Amino acid sequence: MRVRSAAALAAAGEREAAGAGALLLAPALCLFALFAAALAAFFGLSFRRVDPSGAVIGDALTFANYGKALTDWLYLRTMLLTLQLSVQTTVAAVVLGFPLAYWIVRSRSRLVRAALIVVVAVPFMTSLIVRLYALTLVLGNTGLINRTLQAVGVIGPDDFVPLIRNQASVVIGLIYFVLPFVVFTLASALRRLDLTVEEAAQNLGADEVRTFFLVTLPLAGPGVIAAASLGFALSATAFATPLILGGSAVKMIANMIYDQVLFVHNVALGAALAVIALLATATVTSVYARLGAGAAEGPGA
Amino acid sequence: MRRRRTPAARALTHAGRVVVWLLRAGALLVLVVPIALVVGLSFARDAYVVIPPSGYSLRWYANIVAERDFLPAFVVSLEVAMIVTAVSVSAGSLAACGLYRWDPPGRRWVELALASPIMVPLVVTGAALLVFLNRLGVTGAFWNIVIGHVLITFPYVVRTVSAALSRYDAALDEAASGLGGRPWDVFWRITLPIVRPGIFAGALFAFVMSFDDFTVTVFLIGADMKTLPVAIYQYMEWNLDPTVSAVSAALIGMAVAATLVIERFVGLDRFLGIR
Repeated sequence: MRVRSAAALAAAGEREAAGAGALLLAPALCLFALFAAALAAFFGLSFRRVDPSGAVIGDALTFANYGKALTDWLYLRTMLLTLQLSVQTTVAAVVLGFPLAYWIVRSRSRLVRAALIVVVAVPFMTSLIVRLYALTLVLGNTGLINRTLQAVGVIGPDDFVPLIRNQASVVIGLIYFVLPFVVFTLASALRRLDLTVEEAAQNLGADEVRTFFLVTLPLAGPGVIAAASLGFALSATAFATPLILGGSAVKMIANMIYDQVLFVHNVALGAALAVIALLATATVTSVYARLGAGAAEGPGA
Repeated sequence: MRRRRTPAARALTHAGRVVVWLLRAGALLVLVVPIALVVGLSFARDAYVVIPPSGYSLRWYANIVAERDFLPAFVVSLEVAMIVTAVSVSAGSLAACGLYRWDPPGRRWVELALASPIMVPLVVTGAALLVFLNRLGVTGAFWNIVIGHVLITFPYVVRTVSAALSRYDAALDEAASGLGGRPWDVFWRITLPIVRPGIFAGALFAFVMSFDDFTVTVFLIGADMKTLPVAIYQYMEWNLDPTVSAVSAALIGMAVAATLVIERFVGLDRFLGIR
């Protein structure tokens, strides 16, 4: 057996580790290179002109697509609508999700806890298309809600409340889509809170409502911000939900990008819209990373 | 000792409790009702969705096979998800180990690069891949879908395996190398067994995400090549019969099974980041 000094051993170990490290990272970095190349090719088109068939015209660079995306009322309206529906969804999902997350974390019964986690996890694990189809059966003109309203006599037997293919149905669908993400993010943040602080507040005379608003909520702040940012990012880039529940009546930015690329064949404008959408979500994601650091690390964390 | 409360404070507390229970009930209704409804309606007898059903039968489950669209799409989804899981788990786990064992100069940038596909909206990734792969002349829909799914899933594997590694004691590595273990042996015999739960969580996540993806896939499908979520979407656009309810109920059954498997092997709260 060779005898090596501790220093030589450490140096050799570091060199080997560096070599092995580069080798271990190589496959994933190749995947990243592919991803980056695809994005670069697509985003490059946003500075080009295309003819109606989608072919690039000439080599000249132009900002016309950005100009159109940011001044044409059709696209501006879509962006504003995306913003509005996402904010509505985020507020509703956090308000609905917080009590549920709190219940999951604080319940003394293992059975209740396990049942609640399963109730949130099963929709989380179910295909989104399936969940949206299920929601059309609840919201449709002859769906569960309208049939129930008819049965109890709130509306006539042939009347219905329009709950599908409008903004309300898209917001309901988005809440349904993001709620599991929001609940799990909040639960993982709430779990880190020290229960004794709440008890101390109550022992000092604060009632439950005051304890919640003055102690629990401020402490849970970073978790709430993380959950809200995640909910917002998911809603603002949602594609399937507005497609199925909004149809042609309610289009969000992702649907607009899809239409431009696949139906209108204006890939250049689609690319400009994509760059704008990416910058907007990247801003929110970085806020999420900064404000909610450590509050939620996603699955497996 | 608690102080006595005024009636107003008591009323406020009471109202607060009522609001909390209403919100809890609301959240549970949103999560449970659609899934329960679609499972119930999958056993309906009627030729289109009627609430409540006039009777019950299994005919729409039989129709899944008769429709000829769903089973091939299911097989495609399964094949894609299995290949994607294998590739993403390999590349993602190796990268997580590389990041952990080796502190490259630009470590933060490498981490950011490997996490970047998570930050890009799926619709942008899908459109970009469509444009890029078309330009390269790559037109095989099956492999395009696989590439798309690998790109959106491997960052999650990097994340789950990194999380498992952060709980791992580096001294074990040093001990193994000090005793003469080569890097590969150390990796295979020491590191891998310890990070197995993280790999398992990443694999499940990659599989489920690939199997369920609609947004990236819809850009990459071919005329005769589609996955199950796309087949379901196309069917429900043109048909009102409850076949989709039956397919949905079957997929919900799979989701329940997956949930139980995760609970058994990883622990749901750990998988979902609650713990």
